[in-house]
Amino acid sequence: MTAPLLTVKDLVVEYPIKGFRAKPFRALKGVSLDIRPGECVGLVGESGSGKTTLGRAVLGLAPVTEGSITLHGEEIGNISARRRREIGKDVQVVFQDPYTSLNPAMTIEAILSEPLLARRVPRVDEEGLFEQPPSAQKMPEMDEETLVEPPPTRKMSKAEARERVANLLEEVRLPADAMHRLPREFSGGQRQRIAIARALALDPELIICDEPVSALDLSTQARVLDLFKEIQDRTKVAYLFITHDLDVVRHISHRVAVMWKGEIVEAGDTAEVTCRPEHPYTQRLWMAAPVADPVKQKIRREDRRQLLAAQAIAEEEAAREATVAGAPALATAAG
Amino acid sequence: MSTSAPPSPFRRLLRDPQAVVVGAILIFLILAVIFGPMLSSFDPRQTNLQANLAGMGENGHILGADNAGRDVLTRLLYGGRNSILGAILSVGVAVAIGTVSGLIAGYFGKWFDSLSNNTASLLQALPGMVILLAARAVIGPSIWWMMAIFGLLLSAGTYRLVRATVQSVRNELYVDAARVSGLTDWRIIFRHVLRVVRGPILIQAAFMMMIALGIQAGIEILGLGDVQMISWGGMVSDAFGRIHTAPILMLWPSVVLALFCLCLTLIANSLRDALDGTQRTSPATIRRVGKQIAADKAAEVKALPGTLVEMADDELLRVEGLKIGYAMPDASIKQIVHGIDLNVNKGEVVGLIGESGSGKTQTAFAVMRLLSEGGSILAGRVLWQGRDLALLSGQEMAEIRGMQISYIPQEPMSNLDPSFTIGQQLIEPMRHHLAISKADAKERALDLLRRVEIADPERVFRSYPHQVSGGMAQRVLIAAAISCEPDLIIADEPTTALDVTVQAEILELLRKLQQEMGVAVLMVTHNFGIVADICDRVMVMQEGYIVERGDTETMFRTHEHPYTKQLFGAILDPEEIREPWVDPAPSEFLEEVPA
Repeated sequence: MTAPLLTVKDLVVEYPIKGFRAKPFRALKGVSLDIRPGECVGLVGESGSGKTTLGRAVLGLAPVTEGSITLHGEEIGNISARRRREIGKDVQVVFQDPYTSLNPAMTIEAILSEPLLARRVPRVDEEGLFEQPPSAQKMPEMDEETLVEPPPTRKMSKAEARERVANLLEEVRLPADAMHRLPREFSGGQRQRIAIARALALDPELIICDEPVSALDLSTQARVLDLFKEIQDRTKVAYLFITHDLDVVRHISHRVAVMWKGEIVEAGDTAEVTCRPEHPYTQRLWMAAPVADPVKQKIRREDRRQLLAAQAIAEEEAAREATVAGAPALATAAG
Repeated sequence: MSTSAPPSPFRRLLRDPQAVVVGAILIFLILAVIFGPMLSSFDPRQTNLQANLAGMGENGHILGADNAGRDVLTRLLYGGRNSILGAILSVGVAVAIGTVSGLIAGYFGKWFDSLSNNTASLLQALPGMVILLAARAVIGPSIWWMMAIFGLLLSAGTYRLVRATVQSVRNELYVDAARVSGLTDWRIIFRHVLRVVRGPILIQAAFMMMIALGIQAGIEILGLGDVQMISWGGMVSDAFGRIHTAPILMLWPSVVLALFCLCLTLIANSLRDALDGTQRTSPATIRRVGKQIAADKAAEVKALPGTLVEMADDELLRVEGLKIGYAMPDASIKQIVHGIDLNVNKGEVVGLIGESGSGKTQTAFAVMRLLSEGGSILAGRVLWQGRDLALLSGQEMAEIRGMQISYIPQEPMSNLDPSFTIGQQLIEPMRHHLAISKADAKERALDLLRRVEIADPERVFRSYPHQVSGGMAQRVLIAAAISCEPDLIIADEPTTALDVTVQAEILELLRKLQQEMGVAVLMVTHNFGIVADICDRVMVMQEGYIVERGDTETMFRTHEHPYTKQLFGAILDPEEIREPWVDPAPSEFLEEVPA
């Protein structure tokens, strides 16, 4: 059995609330999850469930209050800013909104070569990766002019970066002349392809995909999903695929974890979790999504009514059994 | 989607006639001041009693001479240097301190943020003129020191501007992406943040320069400046002493000062417009295009307003040949809906499905006559009870909206006014449309909230929109939509912003109300699941055309148009589950994974 690439254990993330002695907001309440190399783990949940926070914690964009996140066995939860920057090579991201995730003032070439030129990445040639000496990590803090300067030995030259950018564009099926254009000249689906290319630039082992197809039109969505699959089959990169769309998660994930109120309530193989859900919330979630077929949807609607009725009865019984007084929260009925 | 790229801010500035004229004057003034010694043969300090108060053009004094016979033009040229340099010094200090502290506070925050915030508040609370006078008492009449201190006072404004801009940029996803890419903070600041900040700083610098010039002149006019130094303010001060004998001497430095300040303000305004980027169609253009459309339509319309068209008994809404267009900045019209026909019968749910930019929402808005600024119905009829809605006056239309046709929006939260309670927002339209008392309206509102299955209607009635969830807000809006018992509800993606489980509840509610009330629904959506769930008929829109229509079950079984086929083909098959994960050849990873 291959060792997991990423392991999240009992992760707690708290955000401070403004105000004197205010209790912090607990976005994640002890979440555990692992991802194996080349695997796609789908993370499903509704707004406020904490699924995005989990992704941001792995990326180092959310504070880790308790628990651990390890990559190849190395703790990456609370580490120095410098080490965090180095890990950017292994863990990358594609965000939901293709409009705000690309700097509107930069050309596609500048956007895609940014990660390349920023870190003196060992250049990739036909043979594969060059060994990266440890000293290569030492980078002066303020060398923002590197874009135009000819490179020192191990820094990628502008020409090399351009070649790599051209390859990346080809990988995501965009024309090479896209390089010289600005993000606003592209449609939502094309921008998302650019964001994918940026994530691929450093040949990462894991990409956090935070609702990457939610903002796209139906037909674009299917094509971008296929691109995600194709890239994974070819490069063996692993995905943490965060989404609220159950059809999408079924389509792309090997395994699925369902989040609810800051916790993972159910996890397992996609077929298992999506066809035979056990947790009441997962059952409700599955039944809520309308099927794109009038006949089947009629059946699903009926099933959903029965399920909700059955769950309501079960809840009532549970409440009766609980001898401790405590009014069932009305707020939960609000939705 | 991808149109030709809009011109760069600098290009836009060059196209603005005001900016060009004002910029030319500024450049002329600055060049004149720089090359002053070459333009004038006089020594600005040399007194010449013979030329005392010489008039314009006398003895080669183009603008005359002052009470000591010094050439006015020469003094203007030399004085401009000191005045402008002093202002530049102030602005330089303000921008340097404000930008650096604003960047650090906005980007890194923490203790520096609160410290610098309080410092800025303190600086802004100090009365500038008083501080400068106090400073003069301590360090003497050096205008340079005073301008530097004034720059320090001004820096609080720059600080606030930069800090606010940086804070908004810092939360942009592209900055997150840069951080994940491994860029250092300084690199992110230089590449992503400064780019955004520099425009606003430039605009503010122009305004600050004007203020600095004014303050500097003020100090000198009060006679508190450096008497040895020639400056515009100093010249005004000198002239003030001779105001009865030679009032003309006041004129020239005042004119130059005023002109320079005016130009700075105007150029700052032009800069703001140029950097703003979005090319808006001006109200004047919209009016002009609107008149032209109205004229075109008047020639075409056969029926007079008020003439009734015969409609079938169960036919509620009939749209014929509807064309919608928007006025563009160059006064052309961009057509986005190209002549569509559709109809809605009593009590049925009709789906209008399409991707973004297909014109489905615009069609819905055109029916309600709620097209946004610049948009208008170019041709076609919107028939409602025999009347053409496109020809009704605004007031007649307002009667129909809400009473007979109501609307459920996509974003529930942004469609509720945050400063009123939900109850107030429900009552107001009912009192207006149904002419009932406040008490009756309240009772009716509570009843409506119960009807949309809100568990605690009293509490929701008293709540403000931010106190309820998105699903609850959508229920409130549905309650508002049915409050006047309309015949048609136009629902524009009513569940897109909601979670799946909430979406199911809202759809269930809509179905229940629709069946109880027999109201017709025009459902604008991009989701085939919703069409399958609730719609009786469906129309597929693509780029401003309805390409295919039919009843829902038939359409899901057979569809002809290539675009419809493409759309249906893109629906993810729920049966299709990804093949299980295969362990990559273990040897590949053994090298990399430490034991």
